[in-house]
Amino acid sequence: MNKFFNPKIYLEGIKKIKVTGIACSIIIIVLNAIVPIIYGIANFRNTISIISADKFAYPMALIMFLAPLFVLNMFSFLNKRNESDFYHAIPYTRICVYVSFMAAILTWIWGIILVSCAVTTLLWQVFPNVQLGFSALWIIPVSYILVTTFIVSIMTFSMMLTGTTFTNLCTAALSMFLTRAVGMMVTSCMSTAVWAFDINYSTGAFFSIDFFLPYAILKMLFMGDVSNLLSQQALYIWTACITVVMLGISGFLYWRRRSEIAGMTATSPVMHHVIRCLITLPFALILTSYLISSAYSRSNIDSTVFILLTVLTLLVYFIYELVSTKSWRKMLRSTPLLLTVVAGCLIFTAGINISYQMIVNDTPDPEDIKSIRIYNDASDNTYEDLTTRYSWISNDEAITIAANGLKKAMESVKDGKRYWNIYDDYQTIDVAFKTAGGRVLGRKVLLKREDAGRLYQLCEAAVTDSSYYSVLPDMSEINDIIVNVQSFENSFPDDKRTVWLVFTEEYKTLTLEQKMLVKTTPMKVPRAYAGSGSEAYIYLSVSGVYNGDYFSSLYTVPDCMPKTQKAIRDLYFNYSNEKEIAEILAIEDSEQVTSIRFTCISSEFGTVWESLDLSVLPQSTQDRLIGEIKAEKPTDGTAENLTEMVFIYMDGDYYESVTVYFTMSRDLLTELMPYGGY
Amino acid sequence: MIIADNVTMKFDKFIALNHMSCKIPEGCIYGLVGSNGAGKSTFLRLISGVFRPSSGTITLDDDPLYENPAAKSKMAFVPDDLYFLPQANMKKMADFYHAIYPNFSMDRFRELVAVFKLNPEANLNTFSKGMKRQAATILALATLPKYLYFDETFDGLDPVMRNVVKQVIYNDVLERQTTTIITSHSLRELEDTCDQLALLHKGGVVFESDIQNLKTSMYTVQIAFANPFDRHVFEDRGIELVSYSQLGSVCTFITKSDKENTVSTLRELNPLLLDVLPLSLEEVFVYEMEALGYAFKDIVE
Repeated sequence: MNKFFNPKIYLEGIKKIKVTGIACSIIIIVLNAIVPIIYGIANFRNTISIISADKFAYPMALIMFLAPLFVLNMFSFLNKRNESDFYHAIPYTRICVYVSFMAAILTWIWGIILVSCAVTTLLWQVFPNVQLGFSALWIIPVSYILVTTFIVSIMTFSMMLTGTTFTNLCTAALSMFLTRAVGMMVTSCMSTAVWAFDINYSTGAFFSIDFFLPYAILKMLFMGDVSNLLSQQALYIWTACITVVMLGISGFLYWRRRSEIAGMTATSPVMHHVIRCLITLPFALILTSYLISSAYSRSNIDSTVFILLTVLTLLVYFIYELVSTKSWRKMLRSTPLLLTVVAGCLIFTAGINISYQMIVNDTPDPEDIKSIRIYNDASDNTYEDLTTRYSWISNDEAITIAANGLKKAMESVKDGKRYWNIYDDYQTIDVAFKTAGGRVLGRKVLLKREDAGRLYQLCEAAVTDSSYYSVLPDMSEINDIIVNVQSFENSFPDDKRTVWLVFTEEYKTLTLEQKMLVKTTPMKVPRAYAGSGSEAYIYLSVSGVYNGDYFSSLYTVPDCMPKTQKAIRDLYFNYSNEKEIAEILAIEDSEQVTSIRFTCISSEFGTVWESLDLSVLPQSTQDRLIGEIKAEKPTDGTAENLTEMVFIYMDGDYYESVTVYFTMSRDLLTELMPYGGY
Repeated sequence: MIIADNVTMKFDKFIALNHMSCKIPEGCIYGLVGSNGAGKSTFLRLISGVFRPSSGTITLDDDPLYENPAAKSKMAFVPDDLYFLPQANMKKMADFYHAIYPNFSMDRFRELVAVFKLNPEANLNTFSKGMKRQAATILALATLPKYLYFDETFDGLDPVMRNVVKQVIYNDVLERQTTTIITSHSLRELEDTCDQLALLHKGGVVFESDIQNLKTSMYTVQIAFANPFDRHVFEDRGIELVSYSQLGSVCTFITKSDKENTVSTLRELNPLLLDVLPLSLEEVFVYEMEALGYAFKDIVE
């Protein structure tokens, strides 16, 4: 135990970074605590709303930027000779010091994350109109613990390799972003060089920036895209593996590190040159990619861009040398090694060119293709598309069409033609090929429109009714369920899951014709008020991820599914109106109510939603409306015309709203309809 | 006992220690003298486990030293460039040492703080260079080490404190048989402190000896005769002359021959004047080094 970990060293480590720890704790915990307080107060009178992961504790993102400070602070002794000697002289093995100090760093960071999550969770619970989304409760601590550990591992690795704060930070940035930068350059060059090549399909999205946990978290926060984090288990596993490897390498480097490196730019002169060249490489690759892209797209090189990128690359190279060594002489003496960067760019260019040649010439004949599948990057795939329509088929005609389309696509690539401005009568389809040798290729094939139609037809024909209509998303594949109306999008997560389970059980009992009815999406959303005449329906909209692809499926709930309809009604009825009704009654002057929006599920009219101007309603209708809102809900859940109604009114200078759920009588609904409008 | 066997330490292309070998016995005060860059600090860092030798071996009580916590826990090192925790006072440093060093004694710490009359609550940043050195010495001694290393320790200490530090070190050596290694570029600094001295030059020990033997092994004789004479008078009687100078009827020579026999022989010559004077350590070193073919001035200040 003493050889690998020592509690005393660990406690000294905790103390060593306590100033950083306390400061960060205050920043993170307080900022995260402010979020629910402000949200809760601002939305105190609003309807219940669910807080998803992106809104739960967004200031937590700061911990990603603060985490390196813990490492810098803890291992700062590696940058100063006397401190380094001091810590290397203490009677513990280096591995023991490394593990104990690393444990101290992670204790602080993980502690801050967990405490902050706990405090924030409690504060969200204070507000009755707020409900935490089931995804938020685990995705935030898990993601942040993993991402901060990943950042800590990168920072530690860079500190073990270098001996000054400047070189620590530069090397950390290099370690963090080099592979991403090279990946982006590869993607950029390949997509320009071979537009028919789907690099993400071939590499499992490895080169995508989405496959980078810090970015995925920021994307979740700024774009509200929680599904990316929820679906990408591979991203978590990859990040965890990299983290473990980097922590292991860092431990080895610490064990091997010589104390005298403190204050030096790197562990050796060779390493210093390697780091400088690697720091310059991404900038040089931007220039290289620009030249490669220009060459493949047969476009002119903009001399201004070229000069700017060249100067930028040279500046990065020489400024790094000057700042790290503080010597003009060394800076000038490093000039010949710039050729290393040039060599790196040449290797990159050669790699792209070799890849280009391999890809454009990789056009298997139909007899070499075992099966194909159409896939689509678009986000509007349904679950059935992903599971059946886009499944692998071995139809000879389809394979021949796809193989010819691939050849056509690659010919046009070789000719330097771009499909979108040359082939008006052609279209591209994303097709995956499985060869007899077991290789899987993801390509865009170029097909005449009639061939494309035929290919779709053949793929559709391969889908049997029994397979298409038997699949339904599993609960584990679902991220969100929208029950019928938009306003319910984020409400009652547990109840919605209950509805889904009732739906899937009842679906199994349906005949094929009934199932077709469920999976036939109406062409437009029906409206039931005067003049529309469209068919009414109740629906469930389900979105999630299947095998890494997003899907969104819409299922109608026809009358042949009474249990599901009842479950949906129960969903509405389970909500207590008491507080909201009291609030509506407290609005003394009806003049304050500027408008009413309501949504009603009616067995007679289907889904109805209206916007009403209360001032034009006769007083008798207003009184009747209030009376029905106040009325007891039926307990058997069989009542019709379930209604969600939102009252918008002026409170001083501000608009406020209050939402109630009640049973509206058929007479009142009919009475209200003429007053409705958009 | 510390044994360095054929130790070489390289920093990239620079060789700090070149095939250095030495044995430091237990319970002695061992002085390392040498000019700047001779390898003194490097040697201390090697025997404190901070550096790993490029080649050769270093053992402490027959155990390898590098990455050996048991061996390291027996030693304390006061480097030339001191380090204290940020914003720490002596009390905080003592707590830290108490956590890190298994033998750290708070009683000894308090005792030494009283001897040196330092304020343990004061921020170490407010201490003068000499006070910081005293603080580091206190902390090192409070770990009750078996081996104690001081790198340029007496730098920055006033004469009074220098004597106090020396006295404290003597006490430790006497009471607990602490082996102490002290480096300095000044031979005079170590003359009255060390039991053994080693002279380092260009990464190697050029001379190593017991100080008491060294000091008594040579002495100066001043002698005068009424009749003319030269050096052969002495050489013919078996007196080994390390150096010889004569001015008229008075000559001065330095010899390594047995003192009693030499004096007896010289008295038989009925000199007008006969004085036997001890040599300073520096003088002994000068002659010893010259005998080895080194110019002493090049090695030590």
